[in-house]
Amino acid sequence: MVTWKQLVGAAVLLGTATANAAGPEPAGQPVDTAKAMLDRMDRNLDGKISIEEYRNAMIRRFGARDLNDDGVLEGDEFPKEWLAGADVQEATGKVTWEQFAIQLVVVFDQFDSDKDGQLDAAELAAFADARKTKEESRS
Amino acid sequence: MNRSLIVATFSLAGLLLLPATAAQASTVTCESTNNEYRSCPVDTSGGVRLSQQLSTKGCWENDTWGFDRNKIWVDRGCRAQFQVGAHGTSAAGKGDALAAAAVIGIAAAAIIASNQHDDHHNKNYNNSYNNSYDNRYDGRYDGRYDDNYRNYDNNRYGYNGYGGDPRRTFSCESRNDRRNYCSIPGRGHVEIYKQRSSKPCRHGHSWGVEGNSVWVEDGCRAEFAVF
Repeated sequence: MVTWKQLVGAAVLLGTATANAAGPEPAGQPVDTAKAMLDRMDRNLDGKISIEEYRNAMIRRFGARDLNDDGVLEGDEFPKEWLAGADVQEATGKVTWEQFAIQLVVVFDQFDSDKDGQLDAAELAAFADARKTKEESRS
Repeated sequence: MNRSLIVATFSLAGLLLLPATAAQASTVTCESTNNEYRSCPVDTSGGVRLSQQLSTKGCWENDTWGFDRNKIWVDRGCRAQFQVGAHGTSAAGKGDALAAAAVIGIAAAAIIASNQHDDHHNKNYNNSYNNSYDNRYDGRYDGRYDDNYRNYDNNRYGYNGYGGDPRRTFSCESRNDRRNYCSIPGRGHVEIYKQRSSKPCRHGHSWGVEGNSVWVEDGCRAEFAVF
């Protein structure tokens, strides 16, 4: 059973990892970030991101980090400095494929305000805003 | 008095029935191994929902997975668990899932939004690719080539490309609905990256892989990715 603390730890870990891996955060506007998401994930070029487009992109990201292919992100798959400042002392310091995969729909639904199965421009902007807020709260 | 008692009784019955209906949903795992088509017999009259993807290889409805009345099918390395029957149930405990949504949501946002940094990594891409490609390929080929190959740059903790950037992309277009062949640059798992035609690109129907080439027909125009 996945505990609340594990999920929090995993989430913080992943969020921190990505931000720090890329270096300092450029002062980008949310709309730019939403555009970047579309550039990368919008497979059918309809200007929106479907749950399938989101799920496949996210799963690939997890897979690329899982260097030993064991379905768990841990150890060297996360440089230690990524943990600095993250509130993961009580977490296991790892995230499993299942923990990650089963949350994708939940996350998507949270930002899919009109529940049409697509993240449109406004919903993507909200997504990007949430991310920016998270970044700022960490620095 | 009697009426309200009856209403109350029916309400209670309704409450008791709801969990029973939801419990009829079941989970089916259907996996395309060795990139081969698989079908998994199941009654799909209650609906099908992909609940958990198990493969990094793409699961795209009507392209690499689908269902008809009595089966779910998967293809091209798509492996997943499917919820069959009552919609809306989750493999996770609902309380946990909802409680965690906010936190994971932000993390997920951070991950996908970090695409803006990818240009930096892409600049380094060709070097690492050329340096490591041949050796790693020969040493690690075991039929699961593309699953393993994604780790081609271990020194960077796998974050170059932010997880699943294609190593190469290439275009292939069917003009006037005619079949066209396009050679695949490099080796690996090929998927549609951007579909540019309004006509559907569906694996096995309007596009496919033959040897070192992709073929398209019936007006499928797309940018393909080698993962």
